[in-house]
Amino acid sequence: MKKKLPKEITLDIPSEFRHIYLLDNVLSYVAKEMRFDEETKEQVNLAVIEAGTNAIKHGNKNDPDKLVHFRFYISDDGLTIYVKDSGNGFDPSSVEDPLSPENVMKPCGRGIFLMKALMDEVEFTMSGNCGTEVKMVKYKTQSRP
Amino acid sequence: MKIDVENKDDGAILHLEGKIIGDGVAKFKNALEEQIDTGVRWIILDLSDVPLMDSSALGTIIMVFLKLKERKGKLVLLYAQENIINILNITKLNSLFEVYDNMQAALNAVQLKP
Repeated sequence: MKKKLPKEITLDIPSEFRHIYLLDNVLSYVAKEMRFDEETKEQVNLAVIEAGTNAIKHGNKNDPDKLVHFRFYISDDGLTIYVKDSGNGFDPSSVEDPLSPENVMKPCGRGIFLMKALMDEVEFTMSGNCGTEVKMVKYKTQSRP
Repeated sequence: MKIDVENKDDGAILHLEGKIIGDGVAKFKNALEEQIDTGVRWIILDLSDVPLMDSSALGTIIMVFLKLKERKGKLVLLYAQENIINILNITKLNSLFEVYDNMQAALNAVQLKP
């Protein structure tokens, strides 16, 4: 049987934290479309909010003239999300392990860790001064490879 | 998000409502810093109506926790929902924060008589 093409939803927001609530509303819609259970819904919600917050703060340096682009691909197997900023790129391997005893009481540095912990796949692509794109995948429980 | 502050003798209970994300984190941080500036020794964060908080909100709680610890005070969490407990477990912050499921226990923990 021919596989259905994934449904695509896009969202562009200016780099201001107040728009994270708009992202949250879109995520609720996407989770409903995916028929995720409550736990998975909250995992995806937080991971994408972390990615969006990073893109606004570290990527676009809170410049409201710069947009953060979100693309959601809804399929029977799972949800694939791309989050792209227009910053100068960064090296995700430079982020310290927030679970190590010397870092556990530090107030920052948990965003990427949470994204990786909550999603099935997380991949960063840096394109110099064309920004950073993060791809995240959450499979439907029965579709996990 | 909504924040109601209940001031006590040397501490405060913050009743929070809504997701602590986006610009809600700055509002949350300001409310906590205001309490720190007034010299409170303890803070109880009532999370019964908080379905989600991001890592910046967690960072804010750590900062205030450490400030209160410096003045031999305490910050505890009350009525944290399952999602929040999961995040605390994943980040190992469950070893740092005390979480209570009734007000009296939280008040006892911050050594205040009701």
